[in-house]
Amino acid sequence: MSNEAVEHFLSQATDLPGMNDVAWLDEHRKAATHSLSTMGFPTRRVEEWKYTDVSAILNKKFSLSIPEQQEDVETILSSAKISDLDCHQLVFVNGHFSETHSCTDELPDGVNIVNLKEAISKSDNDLEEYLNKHHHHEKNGFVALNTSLIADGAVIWIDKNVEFTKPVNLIFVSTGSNNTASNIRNLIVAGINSRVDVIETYAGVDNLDYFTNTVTEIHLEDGAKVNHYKIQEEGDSGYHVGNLFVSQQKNSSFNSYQVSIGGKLVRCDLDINLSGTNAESTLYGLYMAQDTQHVDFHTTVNHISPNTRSNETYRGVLGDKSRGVFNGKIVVHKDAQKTEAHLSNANLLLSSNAEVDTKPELEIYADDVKCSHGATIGRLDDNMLFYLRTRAIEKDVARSLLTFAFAEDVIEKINYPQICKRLQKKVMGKLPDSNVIEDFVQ
Amino acid sequence: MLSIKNLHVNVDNKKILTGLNLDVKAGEVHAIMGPNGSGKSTLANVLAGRDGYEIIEGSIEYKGKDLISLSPEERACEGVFLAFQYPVEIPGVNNVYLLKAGINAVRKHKGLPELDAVEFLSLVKDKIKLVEMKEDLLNRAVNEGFSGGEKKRNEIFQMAVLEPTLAILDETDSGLDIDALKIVANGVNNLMNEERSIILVTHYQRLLNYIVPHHVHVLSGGKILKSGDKELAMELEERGYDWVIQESNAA
Ligand SMILES: Nc1ncnc2c1ncn2[C@@H]1O[C@H](COP(=O)(O)OP(=O)(O)OP(=O)(O)O)[C@@H](O)[C@H]1O
Ligand SMILES: [Mg+2]
Repeated sequence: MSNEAVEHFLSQATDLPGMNDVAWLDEHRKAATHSLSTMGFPTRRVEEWKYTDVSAILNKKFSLSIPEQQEDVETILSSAKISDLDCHQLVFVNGHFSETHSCTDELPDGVNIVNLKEAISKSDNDLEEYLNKHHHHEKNGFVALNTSLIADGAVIWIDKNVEFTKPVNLIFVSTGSNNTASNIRNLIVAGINSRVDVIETYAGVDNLDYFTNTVTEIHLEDGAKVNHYKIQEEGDSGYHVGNLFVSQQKNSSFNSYQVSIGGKLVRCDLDINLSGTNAESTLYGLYMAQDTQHVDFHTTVNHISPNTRSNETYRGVLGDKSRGVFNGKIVVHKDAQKTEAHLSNANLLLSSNAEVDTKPELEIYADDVKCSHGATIGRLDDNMLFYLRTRAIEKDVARSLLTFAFAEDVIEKINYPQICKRLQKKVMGKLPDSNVIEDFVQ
Repeated sequence: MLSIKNLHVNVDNKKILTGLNLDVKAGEVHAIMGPNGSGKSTLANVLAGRDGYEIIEGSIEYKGKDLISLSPEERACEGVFLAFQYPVEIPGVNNVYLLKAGINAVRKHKGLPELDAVEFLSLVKDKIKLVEMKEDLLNRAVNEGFSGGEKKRNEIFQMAVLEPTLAILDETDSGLDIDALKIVANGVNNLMNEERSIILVTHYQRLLNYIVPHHVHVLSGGKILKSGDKELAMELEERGYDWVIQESNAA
């Protein structure tokens, strides 16, 4: 089945940008195709995929061709946008750049924001240097597939010493007909001592079978500072596989905020590499699932150099018959003395049919380190529920309030009030009696 | 107002209340005293409707209704209020918004229009003065990081805003300095009128100098062993509980 799926997807690798023209890119695609053919797509026999069965994605025979009907674009886009946020915006519809919906005018010197297809056509030297620099395609079948089919996505360059304060919002919407796949490849390069904030928003039409396979590479040069936000609000029948690769040089600082709310089957991997001394990373995450949603987060933080710091806080809210998986790994390599690494994962189960598997892992090969990790799985606190109810708050409202407060702990870490507001609304919208608890958030 | 008859309550199959009788009329203040672990908080929790308390036998009638059949929030809407012995910290839930939602739920239940932001704020300003609570506690998470005394004051503040008809104060006086004690008493006395009743659970006669109870009861081993007036509280302060227990064993 896996082989068939590999063939099915690879048969669509025709007419890709720069194909048979940009040699170095052909090399990457070729290597990735080779990886995919040899390793195939992950099965549950592989430890990292033990709880997540991707056969539904493989059986569907998703197609990369652009669907003809895209009439919902405007509607879905207007709900995916972040109101009142002054930002540059790149919009991709079913994985393809949409110039009409995007606006990036008036970029300051030293900032370049383009779509990947265009960047390839200009055959930029820097693109060659950074794209797939660390052979990410070797990670798993989905990244290999993504690399074999590299076509479009966003490319963001920030030159050295440029502090780019206006955030860049990349919006990926899926619409059109069933069985459409989007293959998205993003590249962000933050030069020495530069800074940039990038938001990725994924949204799609409900009741539509589609598949998003996205890979984002972020390179932080010395002293660079990047805030990265990923808001996953795929439609209720959407499949989402996302991989984020971050490589950090010395003194760089990376903050990640991942919020996963939509989708039917969601798998997100984050690979953070603290390659330079004194680099630091802070990772926040919130995953929410209900009905029969399945959401799986796998994060790996590699402390490669001395004096590196990481702090990771993930929270999960699982209701109905949903299923959550969290695997957070910290690896402290042997030269990474004076590493400080902390990881915590807390899960809230809202129903007796909801399930979560959580596993924090520490692999330490250095001796002078400060590390901690912990994971909890709990239910709503009876004492708190009772207290609220004695104050005339109905049981369901009290439950929603406490659930919201649990999720809010992550959301409030986001430093754009516009994004917070939007996420609060989204989270609330998933809870019973949301109109009542709205009053609590002002 | 409240009539408890032959109440038997188990927690985790352990008998806690073993045939408790209590009648509270409108306009009365009742003090309940008794040794640690005698079942005072259990009674308070049962009255407020906490899950996990198994009512084996007996009845509780409140304003002519079967209280046991009501959920905690329905009881609150009907005017039952519990000031907790250990107020719960609720991170992420704003203190004053909780109160606003609470009072509007009560008003809705009574068929009254909801208070708008302005009306609510003026009510809050009014009541916060009464309990001399710091205003910045309003916009903090419910009880989170409050000092012991601040938590107790917050309970009384909530009571003052919600204006219950039956307030149960579970050791609200414990851990309060003498000034705070007066403030709590002030809050209670302000609330009292001929339509309202209060059950005060306390270990100290001292509170009863400021709130004069109509009746004082000794709860021990899950039932009320002795009832009297304010004088009984004085006597208990002096002599402890043993004589009451012995007296009742002899009878
Ligand atoms: N969940 C429970 N499981 C088992 N025993 C319980 C439980 N809750 C209460 N009890 C027991 O019931 C008895 C009465 O407890 P309660 O809290 O009502 O006492 P109290 O009179 O309020 O005491 P204090 O003066 O110390 O506050 C105690 O022995 C207590 O240990
Ligand atoms: Mg007690």
